Amino acid sequence: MAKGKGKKQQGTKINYKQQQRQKAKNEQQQMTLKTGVQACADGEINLHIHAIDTWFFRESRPHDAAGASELSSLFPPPIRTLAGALRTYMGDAMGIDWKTLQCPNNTFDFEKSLGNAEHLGELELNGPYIVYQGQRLYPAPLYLMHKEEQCQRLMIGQPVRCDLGTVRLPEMPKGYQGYKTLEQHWLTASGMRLCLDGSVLHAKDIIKAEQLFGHEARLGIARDNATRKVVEGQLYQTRHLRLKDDVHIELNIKNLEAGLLDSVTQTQKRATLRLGGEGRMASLSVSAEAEALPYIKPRKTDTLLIQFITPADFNGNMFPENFNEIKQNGQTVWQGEINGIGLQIEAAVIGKAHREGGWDMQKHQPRPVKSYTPAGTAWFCRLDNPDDYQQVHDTLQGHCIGADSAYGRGQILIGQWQDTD
Amino acid sequence: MTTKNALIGLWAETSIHAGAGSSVDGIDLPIQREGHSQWPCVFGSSVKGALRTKAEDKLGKDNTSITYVFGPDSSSDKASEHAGALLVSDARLLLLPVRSLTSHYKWVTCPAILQRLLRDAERLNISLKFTVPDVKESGIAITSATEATDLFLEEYRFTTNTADLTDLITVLAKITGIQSEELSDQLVIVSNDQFSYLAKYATPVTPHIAIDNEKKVVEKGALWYEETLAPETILYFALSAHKSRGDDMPAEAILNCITQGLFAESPYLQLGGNETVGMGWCKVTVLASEA
Repeated sequence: MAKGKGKKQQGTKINYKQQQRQKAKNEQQQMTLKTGVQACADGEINLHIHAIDTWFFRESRPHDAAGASELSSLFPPPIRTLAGALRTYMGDAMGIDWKTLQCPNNTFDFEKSLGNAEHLGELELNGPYIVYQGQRLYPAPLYLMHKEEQCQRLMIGQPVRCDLGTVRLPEMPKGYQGYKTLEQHWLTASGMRLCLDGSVLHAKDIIKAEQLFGHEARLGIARDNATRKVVEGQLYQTRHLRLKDDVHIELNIKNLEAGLLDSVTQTQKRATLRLGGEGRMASLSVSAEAEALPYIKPRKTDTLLIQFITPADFNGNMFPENFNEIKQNGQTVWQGEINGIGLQIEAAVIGKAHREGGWDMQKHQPRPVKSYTPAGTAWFCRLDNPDDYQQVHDTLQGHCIGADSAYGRGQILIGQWQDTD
Repeated sequence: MTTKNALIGLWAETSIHAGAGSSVDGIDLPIQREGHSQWPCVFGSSVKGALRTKAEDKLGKDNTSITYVFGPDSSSDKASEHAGALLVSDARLLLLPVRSLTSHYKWVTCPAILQRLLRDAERLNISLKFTVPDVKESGIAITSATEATDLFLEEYRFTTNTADLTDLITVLAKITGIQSEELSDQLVIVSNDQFSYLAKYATPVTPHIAIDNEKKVVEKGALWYEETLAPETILYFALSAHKSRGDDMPAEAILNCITQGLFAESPYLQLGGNETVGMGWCKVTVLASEA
């Protein structure tokens, strides 16, 4: 009896713990639904990065190749630039010796915790997210078109023969002309939710680049201090970004080692770090909560929209390497799996390649410039197993796909594809 | 803390011409301005260049401390070995001298500039305590004068409202080195909109010519208009020092190289162009962070 009773008690205890965990999870979900804000998990922080004056994240062209024209800045900051600044900041916070990568606290393994020039170690990043007037923005989907204040979605047309095969291509609905893509536009979370839900959003949900930052042309010279003369050939022009007061950048950081987390939390108060070109400054603050990604309630359907909110790296391909081009009912589709979910990509809206280079501080040389699938890209997919939808949502929503996913590349949201069959 | 910060006040004793490089609105050589507000500024690269020049003049170009603080010379083969350990912000406008029929000039500022100063100081861990006066209405100027009167700034007439600006004046005196009594007489706070206009149009724009010395006539085509920041302009910039990558100099030592090494004996900095005609000389006041 006693043994049985013990078993029963143990069983009750496990159930109670499970119930508590489930209750906490439900409460968290309710809170997220209610406020749109969720608490960070253990070892996770949300970093707020504010510009002090201007920022400059040089486009992937060298000064001498550009001739006399000015070089402009990327926005938002490239993730590798942010990751580099973050690793430097965290290394400094741990008192690292940068020549030996040793820390006074011998138990701290720099490469394991913070990685090197090629990888991030245990760190995982998500973002960067632009925050405007206290709420996160998301890159406008490339299937969204606008004409002044009017918005319209591209629809997926009937299969047509083209260089890719017999594929379904995105097209404007009949009767709509003169619409343009929303490049360098961002959506509020509510606007993105409408997009994911297959609706057309309101103009107020679209945030233009000029609402977020201004451009500031700068002319630089090199001066020989001995002769007090300008050095010949050392004239350069750049276009810095001047962020508006109510704009900053957020970066979500996961898997922070406990010592590192303590150290960052203690030193972050009013910390200043070097960020991007020309050694411009940024100030940091840390919070333990972050805005939840926009999502729509899962519903039973066999089609799916995969929406990219950060640039993705598929090694120069349109789709991940495990996707194969096949013919189905005379139509060309790309069949493959993402995180174990089988699906076919029937159509895609992919913008101009996003180009990023960077600087390898260890080797003192520029990193090779790579092309990425741009944020705003959308895939229109058909699920192999329609019953999988809930699982699809849990498995894909907010996850990163493709190469360099630890850097937050290829972060996706799941939406509804309004099939235009 | 892994960084050490300071706020450096600049009191222009001569005109400053930190050029933007391209002509605008009929001004051949305009000054640098912030892109979004059009307030005059001196870009961080110009300020850093001026600091490096002063350091090289004092210590010699090849001094290793200069390399650690400012980074290796861009023309040297070690240019990409490591970055400098000092971050230099833009020099930001704090008080703009504006001509006045009522007085010789007034130091004009606005709530947005003062709020930015508070934010900058907080970030740099420098405690500045004052209340930003509230001026929203055009035509109203806040001064510390005891009785309300009319005040002329450029071609505009303002009605003054008196306020207790003691805390603000104490802070401004601390940042700029200007006597409190002088600030009390000269300080005027106008609305952000009105300040924007003054910051754009109340800066001196002067014609220049080149003379052919043999003929004693103006050289053909040698007429240009040059904009400057007037003497008495008050600016400030932020310095943020990190541990040096070159020799592990701590952040405090890096900051001291500037605040003590450069400015203890001679608290002056020459900013911008036209140095040979006496322009760009500023008196420097150092306000170091508290932790």
